[in-house]
Amino acid sequence: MKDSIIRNKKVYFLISIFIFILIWQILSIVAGPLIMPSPMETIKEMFHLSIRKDFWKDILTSIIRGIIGFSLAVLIGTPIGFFMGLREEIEAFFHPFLVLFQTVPTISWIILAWLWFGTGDGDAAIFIIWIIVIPFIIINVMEGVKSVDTSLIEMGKVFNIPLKKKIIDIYFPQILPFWLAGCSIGSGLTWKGVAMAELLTAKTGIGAAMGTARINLEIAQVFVWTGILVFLGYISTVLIRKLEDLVTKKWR
Amino acid sequence: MVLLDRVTKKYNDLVVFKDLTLDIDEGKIYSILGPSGCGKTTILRIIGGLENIDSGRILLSKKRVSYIFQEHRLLPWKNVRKNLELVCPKEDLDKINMYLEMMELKDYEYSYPKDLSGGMKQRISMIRGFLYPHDILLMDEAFQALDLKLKTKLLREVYKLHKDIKNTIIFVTHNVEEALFLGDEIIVLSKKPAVILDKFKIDIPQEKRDFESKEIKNLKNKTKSLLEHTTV
Repeated sequence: MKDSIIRNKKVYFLISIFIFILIWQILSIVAGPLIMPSPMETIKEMFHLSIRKDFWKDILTSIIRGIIGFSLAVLIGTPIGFFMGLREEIEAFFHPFLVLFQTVPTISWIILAWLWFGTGDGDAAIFIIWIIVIPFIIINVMEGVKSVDTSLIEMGKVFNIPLKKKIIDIYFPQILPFWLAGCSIGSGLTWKGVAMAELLTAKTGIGAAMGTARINLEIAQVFVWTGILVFLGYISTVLIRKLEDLVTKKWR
Repeated sequence: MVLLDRVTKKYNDLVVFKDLTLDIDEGKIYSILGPSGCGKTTILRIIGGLENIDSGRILLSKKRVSYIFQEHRLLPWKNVRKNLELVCPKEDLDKINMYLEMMELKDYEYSYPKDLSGGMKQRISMIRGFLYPHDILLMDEAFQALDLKLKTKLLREVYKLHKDIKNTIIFVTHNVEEALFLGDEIIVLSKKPAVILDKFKIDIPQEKRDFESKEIKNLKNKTKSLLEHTTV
């Protein structure tokens, strides 16, 4: 029964992809290759691009920026979220910053980052990723801490479990799913943010390459870069899910 | 030894008990009986340091307290052994196996709580309570999830262990038979706000107690009528 469901799911997945490609193909025939390059032309364009050294350099540059911005957000956001969940006065202190980070439009941050960090290097892009991702890490970790089972905290108190063990053995495993959910949302936003920030503030990276493609009206190239960004987003969420399974499969 | 001295506990306007004094002898087993919701658990939580009081004094004088909760409260991400090691002093680690064997859980040493039945988890939680070094052991409805046969066996084991380590046990239950089976002394509480209705010793040696014995049945009827009186 379960096997057949899994097989069915795979079939539907393939049908969905097939229909997507089919619609794409039809649109390209209707609209013409200049406006809508066909799937085949896009693949060809990818091969063209892939023999250029800049292509791989741009991808690598964006990945490095993405990882740095994301990691900084996780590194700084996790303890802030932890203490915000633990103490209400700390939450009250950081709350306005959180609201500010969340409500100021990304485009405002990009313009500000461009003015503050200048163009040409990736500092602005890293800053943008950091500022986009950090609220999600903070909020998720905070919610995780708040939803920690008080009956287990009491257990730790009664049996005098030392603070370090309490954090590692009682708090951490309960916060982990929330933390990973935050990381998963954040990793999806990272690749959107990196492209957007690079487009407007950098001379290298996927976003900057997309900017060049736009100026030259190379729509097939825009498709290729988009595909790469989609791939990066997909891979990072899959990796995080795998990590969660790996950590929790024994006891869940 | 006075453990609680004229303690008053309120939840907002609701008085759980007022000026409650709990006077106990060390090394004995006390069964606290009372209708459900009368504040039995609150008494244990106060002694265990999990609840503040509104007035009165708690006189623990450096007594170490261990706790067998009503729910098992095991860490789901740790196996049985790791759950026990969490509270176990290094020099007592070899006791874990002894307890697991006694509770017929030797095969489950490395199992995770999700793979154990409710009764098994309850037994692990009992082992944890005994393993943690203590003078006073608090037991809150510890035998709830068990069938009668296992319950009888465990009640006897608890008694044996208690004889061994000479701890003081404060056992809270709404089950009259369990209270009479285990307690050296029985404390009967009224409904909220709780006062001590009666306090009596049981002179039958524990080994001779049986759920079906005449003495226990008489005591049971006496206690039950007392309890029924309070709820009217």
